[in-house]
Amino acid sequence: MWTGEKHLKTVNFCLIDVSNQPKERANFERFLPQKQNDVMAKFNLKINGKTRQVDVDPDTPMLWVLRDHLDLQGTKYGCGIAACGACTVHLNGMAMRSCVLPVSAAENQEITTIEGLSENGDHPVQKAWLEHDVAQCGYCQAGQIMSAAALLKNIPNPSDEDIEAYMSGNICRCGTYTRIKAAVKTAANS
Amino acid sequence: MLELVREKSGWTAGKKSKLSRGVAAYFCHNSYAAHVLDLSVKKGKVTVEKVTSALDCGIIVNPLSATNMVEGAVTDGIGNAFYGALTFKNGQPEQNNFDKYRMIRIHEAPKAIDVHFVKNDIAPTGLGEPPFPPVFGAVANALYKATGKRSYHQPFLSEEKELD
Ligand code: FES
Ligand code: FES
Repeated sequence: MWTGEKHLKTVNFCLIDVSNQPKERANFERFLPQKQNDVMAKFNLKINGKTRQVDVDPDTPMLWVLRDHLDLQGTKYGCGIAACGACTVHLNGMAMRSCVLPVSAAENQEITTIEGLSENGDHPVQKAWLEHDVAQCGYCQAGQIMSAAALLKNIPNPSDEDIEAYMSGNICRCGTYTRIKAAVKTAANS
Repeated sequence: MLELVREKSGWTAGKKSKLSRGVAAYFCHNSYAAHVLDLSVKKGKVTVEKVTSALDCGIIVNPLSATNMVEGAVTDGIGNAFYGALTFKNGQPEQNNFDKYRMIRIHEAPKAIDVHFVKNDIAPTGLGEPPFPPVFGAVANALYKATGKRSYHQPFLSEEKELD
């Protein structure tokens, strides 16, 4: 059981106080973390150039390890099924949806999040994003920037079609697509 | 405002264009908004080539952000008009994630959006919402121009029902 799911179930059932009602309590306890059954394990992760250790269920998606265990909340949750791109990080330099990447598959691999893309927020993509004032609400933007940075690593001078093909996995509810395209080109030329 | 969008979109000169053009205007939140939308239909595939927008919402405080909000309204409006099906069963939405609810994506966004503001000294009025609703009308009118068929019920396009 991954953290988010546990959390949801706990929250749902905490609405009723069942501490004095044995039957309800037994029912409730089914949803509490079961220490003896949960297979926790230690994982050594390389995140933004640093080694971090976490003790989690091997199935936990990388997204929740980053957000809930390592306090790296720049990476966002949008869908949990690899359909929106909000959770994009780099795995060995490749864009990867962290919501479908189990922590067990990420051990000893280089992971980069938006926090580690550049030391001072001056990666060419980040600078271009500021220049074009791309963000509106900003929710999708960490994912957009990580995808764009990976795109430029693969194709340094992308065409409109390249950008559309590569970036179509990232949804932006605020509709900043025209600016994203312009900013990717500015970043490519810098 | 309609005069501004007519002038900027080359409405009178654009008669010979191969693109299908639609216009719509709207008033809400004390602001006026209008769009001229050009789209092409090739083999049933609809592409929005250009949108020219005009807004009368008083003094513009931050032009870059103001323009961004209109671009966003246009893009999201087109997505909603084309694909945004939302249906309910037993009081629950049937589209509960992005695998079922189709949001517009970068390759479906308009190729160009050209935003203009009416200049005046009126205190700022609504900017985020007024440019959104008229997008639907402009899309429907442009589709009518392209296909001869009226679209009254959004979503206008779907996987099963592409245009012929
Ligand atoms: S949260 Fe991972 S792709 Fe949407
Ligand atoms: S900036 Fe709001 S979702 Fe992209």
